[in-house]
Amino acid sequence: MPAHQAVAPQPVPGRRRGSLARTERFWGLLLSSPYILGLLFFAAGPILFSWIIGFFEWDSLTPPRFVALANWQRLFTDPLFHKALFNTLYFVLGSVPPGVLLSLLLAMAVNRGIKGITIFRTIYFTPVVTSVVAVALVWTWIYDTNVGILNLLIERTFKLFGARPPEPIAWLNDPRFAMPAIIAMSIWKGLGYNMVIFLAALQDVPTQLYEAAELDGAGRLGKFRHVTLPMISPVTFFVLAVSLIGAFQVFDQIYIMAKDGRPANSTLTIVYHLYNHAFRYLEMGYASTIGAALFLMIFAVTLFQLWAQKRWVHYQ
Amino acid sequence: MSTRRLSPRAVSAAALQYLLLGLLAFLMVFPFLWMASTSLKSFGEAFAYPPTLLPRAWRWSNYGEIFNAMPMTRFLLNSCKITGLTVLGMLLSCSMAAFALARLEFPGKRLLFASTLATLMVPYQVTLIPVFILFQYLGWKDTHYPLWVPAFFGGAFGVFLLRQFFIGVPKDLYEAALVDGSTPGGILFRIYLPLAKPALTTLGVFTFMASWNDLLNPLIYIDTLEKMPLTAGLSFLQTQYGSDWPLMMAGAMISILPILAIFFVAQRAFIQGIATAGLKG
Amino acid sequence: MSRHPLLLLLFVLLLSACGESTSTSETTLRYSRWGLPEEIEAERELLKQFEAANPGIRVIVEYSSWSEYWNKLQAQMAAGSAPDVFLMGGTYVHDYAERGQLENLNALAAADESFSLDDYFARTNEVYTFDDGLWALPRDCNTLAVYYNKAIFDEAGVPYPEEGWTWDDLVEKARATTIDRDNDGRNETWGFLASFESLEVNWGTWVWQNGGAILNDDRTKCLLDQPEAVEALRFYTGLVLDEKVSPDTAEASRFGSNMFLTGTLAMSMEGSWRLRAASRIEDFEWGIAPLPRHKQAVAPVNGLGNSIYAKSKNKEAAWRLVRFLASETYQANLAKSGTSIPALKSVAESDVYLDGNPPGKELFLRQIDSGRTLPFTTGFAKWEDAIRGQLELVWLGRKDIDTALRDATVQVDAILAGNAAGEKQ
Repeated sequence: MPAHQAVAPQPVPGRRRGSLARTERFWGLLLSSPYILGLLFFAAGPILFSWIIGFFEWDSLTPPRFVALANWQRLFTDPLFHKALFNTLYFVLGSVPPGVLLSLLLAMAVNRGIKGITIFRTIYFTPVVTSVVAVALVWTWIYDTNVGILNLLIERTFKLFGARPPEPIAWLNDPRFAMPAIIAMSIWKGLGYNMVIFLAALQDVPTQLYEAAELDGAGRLGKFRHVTLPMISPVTFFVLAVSLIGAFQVFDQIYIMAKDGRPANSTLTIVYHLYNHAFRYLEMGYASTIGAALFLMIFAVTLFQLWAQKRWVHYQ
Repeated sequence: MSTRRLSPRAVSAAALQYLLLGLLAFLMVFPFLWMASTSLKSFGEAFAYPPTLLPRAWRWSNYGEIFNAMPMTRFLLNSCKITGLTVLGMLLSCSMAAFALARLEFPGKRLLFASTLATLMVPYQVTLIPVFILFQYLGWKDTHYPLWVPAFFGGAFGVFLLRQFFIGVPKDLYEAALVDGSTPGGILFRIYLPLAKPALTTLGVFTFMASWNDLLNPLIYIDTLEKMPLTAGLSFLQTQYGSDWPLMMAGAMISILPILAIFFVAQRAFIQGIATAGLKG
Repeated sequence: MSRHPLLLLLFVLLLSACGESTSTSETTLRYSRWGLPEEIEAERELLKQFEAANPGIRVIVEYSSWSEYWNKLQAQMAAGSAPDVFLMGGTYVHDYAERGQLENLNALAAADESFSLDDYFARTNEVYTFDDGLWALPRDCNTLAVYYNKAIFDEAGVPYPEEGWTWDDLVEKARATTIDRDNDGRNETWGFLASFESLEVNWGTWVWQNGGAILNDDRTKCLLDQPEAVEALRFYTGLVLDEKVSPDTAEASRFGSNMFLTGTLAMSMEGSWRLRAASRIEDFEWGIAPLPRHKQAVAPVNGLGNSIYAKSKNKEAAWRLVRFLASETYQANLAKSGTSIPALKSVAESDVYLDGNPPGKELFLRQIDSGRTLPFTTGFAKWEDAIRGQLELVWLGRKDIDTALRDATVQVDAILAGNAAGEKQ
């Protein structure tokens, strides 16, 4: 926790400070007690179990056999895991920064009181709720090599400028393009989700701060830089952290749109690999090791973010 | 936004604004429209090339077929119960824990926050079996309990989200109320929750969506069709040997429209957010 | 929630039922299967007959969707609470039997004089008979046929496929029915669909027809690097890469695995279970033909079965249920539903199954007789994935068929030997 957050209100006289600390301790524990119980009961057990079982050979059906670090060693020699690791990092880097930026822009675009804006917001939210199978099928058509809209657009654009159009790209069938294609679809599908979070944050920025900035002669960009960005930074941190954590665990899009990590394992991700071992190959022990390794990776990235946020997140 | 007298420049600016919003809207809504249109097509037409934008013959009977094949009323009732309880439990527990994490000082606070983040980092695929065993042990077989009881113990996503919003609420409010003799609990319910309406709405909509659309948990924990919630129940239309797309899309439409309706209505809270902004600072 | 006391009562009843003979007091059997709600509902009705004939036994049908069936069963087994009876397939039967999750039905079958395994298709029995055990009673029997679109054949002016046709005939017909009507370089219809998706439905048959094998007889070695297999699969991939009478994977994926049903495919190798889906086709006439033959005529045979959970407390009652699911009553109903071929020969060979559309279902039965059981083993899913991964590279044009099959063989051998390459030290 950043130091300035610690509760030590200056104006409160010393005598009351001790009792305030007691009050806060009491209320802090009381208010978080259901959540703490839930963590202990529903989350901690299963998670610890999965970490421990990562040191066992376990098919989930017969008694586990302790193998010490064998599963961890296997990670280092499993070429598919390395492939999955690379693909996952590719997905994370490719999808999170543009996704967060675009959803912030989108939220600002719809954060206005014009007529019919609620309809536009609802429309922008539809990809989030549209059935994944429907989304996957439509995007498969968009990406189709021969009749897809995307290749058609590229061809038309080239012709418009009098250039010779390139060979049609097999978006989902070419290992070089499949991951970018999946990333683009994921960004599109997730935009509305983060848009809503940003929208809520933008609504929370007190209007008089803008007015004050205007008085100081700040232009649009100035207001954005000096008012909006700092005021929504705690939420931006949330969106960034959660998006990263989620992107590291990408599974659904691959499962539906790029079965088996096709083509040629170019979209095989860590969690997909994990799923195969856990439920198709009955190797829950190794799958748990993969899960624990993934956890360590996400944890490291998040720790870095927690450290870095102190430099850019503005806490009240 | 105030309404201004319309100058020609303002009109063309507004027109441009709507044009851009509309263009973007088309990009976003296209698959949804395809889904809606497919839900009214015949099987053969669903895959016709070139695809037809509107069905050649509108087969409303696709929807009728679903209502005949499935106990839809039961599904809806189950969904409302499960989702309603989940949203209620989640908002309550998450806001309490998030407030404690954002504003109060208590032992183990850092550990609690770290654990919150940590639980988000474990893929459900590796905890599915231990959690299943746990729920079996509790005797929750073929009941709705696994689907909504955990919500009353909060969730990492919601706690983290609300914490970040609460941190954004000016701290003077909290301190002033303390000086006036309020308890932290009172401050949460009387000051912070009303101020955080947009955030609570966001969490509410997301929780609604997650619970309503949840496929995995109902399919794993429920054994009786009559106890299934809507989305999971409709997934029975998907079979091992390929699927009847129009029927599936009709099912998807039925399960999605309530979410869109809720989202549409929930936006009122966002507008209110603007109005109350004046109270702050 | 109001049902809670009732459940408790049931629990008490269950407890009291333990230890007593099943015929005198109430036994509750849990039976789980996947399927459309209408199929499961129909089954519930049927099971009333079973309950009437077996007083004291009550059957609870547990619904599972196909998408989560196996994950759920695995979780239930891990928790020690799988249903007494559940639907089983070849893919996982070795995995579960080897790990002690399935009851060996041999003793129960021997004690039941009304039952004889010989009444069922031998090929289906083979799926569930191994390691000195019988791990499921056969429920249905599956094989493949070539489904063909008469409209496309008529347009191209080629005769429909018929009994005794060969690989060469297939190529010829596929060429004629791969049609680019508007000469835009893009085919409106395709002659055939060659895919690496599934051993059972797609590529396995060709290896056998050419006199090759996928595994050796004890299923300890992969034989895909042998000349017969290589030659067969070179022909098969050639349909996509050289003859170009089959769409590639990207093209085919546009139809969400429903290409034949959409009328863009002249011929498709599909399972006998697809008859029901095909019967919904309104836009064109279609028919079924036997698989084209080469050096020999072989078709893959598979089938589902019903297993008893090894930890079931009511094995006697469970036996009666699986026995019922293999009985004439049940099998006749299965035949009428049109979803699959009954495993009970007398029913499959009767008019109950053979009547009705499309005509010519006898061809399935002929193929079953001369057919071959799929080479299921422990870890089948894993080695099928490995082969699929290699074949995919051939489809993508990134590997030649010889190298791909050689690499696949190494991987499969390693999995069969129980130590996948590079995975264990």
